[in-house]
Amino acid sequence: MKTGRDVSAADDVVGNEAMVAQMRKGALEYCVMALISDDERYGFELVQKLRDFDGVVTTEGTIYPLLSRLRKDGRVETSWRESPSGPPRRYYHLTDKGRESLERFAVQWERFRDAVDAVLNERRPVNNGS
Amino acid sequence: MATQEADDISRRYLKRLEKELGDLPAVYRNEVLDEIREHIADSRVAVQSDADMPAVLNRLGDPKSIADDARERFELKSYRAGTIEIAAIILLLFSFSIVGYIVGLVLVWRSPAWRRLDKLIGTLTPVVAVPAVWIAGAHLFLLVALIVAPVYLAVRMRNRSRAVLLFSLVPLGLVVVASVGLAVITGGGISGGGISGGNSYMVVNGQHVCWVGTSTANEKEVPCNSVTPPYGGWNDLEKNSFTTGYDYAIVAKGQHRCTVDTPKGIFQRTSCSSIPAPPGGWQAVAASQQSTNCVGDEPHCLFVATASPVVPPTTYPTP
Repeated sequence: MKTGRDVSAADDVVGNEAMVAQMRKGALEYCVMALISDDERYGFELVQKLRDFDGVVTTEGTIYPLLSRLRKDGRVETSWRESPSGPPRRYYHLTDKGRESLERFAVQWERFRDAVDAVLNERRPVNNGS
Repeated sequence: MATQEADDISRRYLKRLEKELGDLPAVYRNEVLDEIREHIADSRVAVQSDADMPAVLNRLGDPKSIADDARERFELKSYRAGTIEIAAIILLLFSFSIVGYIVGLVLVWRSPAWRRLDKLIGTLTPVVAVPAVWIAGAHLFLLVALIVAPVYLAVRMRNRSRAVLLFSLVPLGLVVVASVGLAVITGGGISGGGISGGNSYMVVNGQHVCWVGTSTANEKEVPCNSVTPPYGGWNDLEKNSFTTGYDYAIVAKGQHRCTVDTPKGIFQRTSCSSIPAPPGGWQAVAASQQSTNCVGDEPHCLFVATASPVVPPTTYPTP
């Protein structure tokens, strides 16, 4: 039987997931753009690289519609290259427009992150029990 | 996990994903599908095992989640089929006019609830099927040819709730029930009326003469031992007597009606199941073949009927 504490812990996990999902949604496209800002990468390689960063992506399949959307916006471009293990691959690289967009985000993100950190630091220390 | 099994589950996954991504612009949908197909292939090479396929697909995520996310990225509203689609199907079923039917088709083509291929099939099916059925003379199947497209479209509708499917299928069900009911009432699916045919037996110059046929066009004289005897058996021959036996069936007001000639030469109405079926069996007849000069039980009505092959019985009574 589930105890009240179990239910509360489960609620916490769901709540954390929802909170992180919201933050991830806005930032993910810039993370993807950052990973192809210096080097061209193909889809699977890009997803593998993203796995190195905990919590950046959970549903890997969503990366592909995101890449299509970035291509539609003209922020990334693709080129076909021969693959050693199969048919040619589509490699993604950043366009000038994408690079500019990424730079703007990096500045805004830093400001936003600092502001949030500052607000969170304003909290009073939690008093445990006494 | 065997390679075949891994192939199967990845194929099913891609199929579901393709369905879920249905409303994404085709060029991007295909791009996403190609990439995910490649992702799966790369994953198999990377781990060099098919055993991990469920884990690979699990990491990729539920196709619905991917599609929801894609819609958000492409700023597409998730379309829910509703009133327009129900109206389109009802118009295709009940418009009773070319204009109404065309309006139904326009609604179908404007709705994102169907793929282009389904719209094409829904449009072309009656265009092909109705003339084909008409030419083949299978007029009873006209109704089927007409409702195939609405049924197909109702089932193939995307992003619909169960309620919408139900509302689409209720009119279809009504059509089917009404058709079956009509067929039962009119005796075998006769629409409009007509005459189904029979055998005729006469005495000419003291000899039995028999004909079978279902119309004046295909009526032919046959040996009397090749036809089913008339109700009450063969009568005595009387020189110059006119009719000694006569069973016939007509269709009046859409219903079979049967009459038999008794041994005493008195016409008597009877149930159609009590007399032998005409050669070739009971025929369904089209309204266009209904006799217009059939008064009461006049014998000439017998021969205005469908043209169907005459199949004489294999055992012959002796007159």
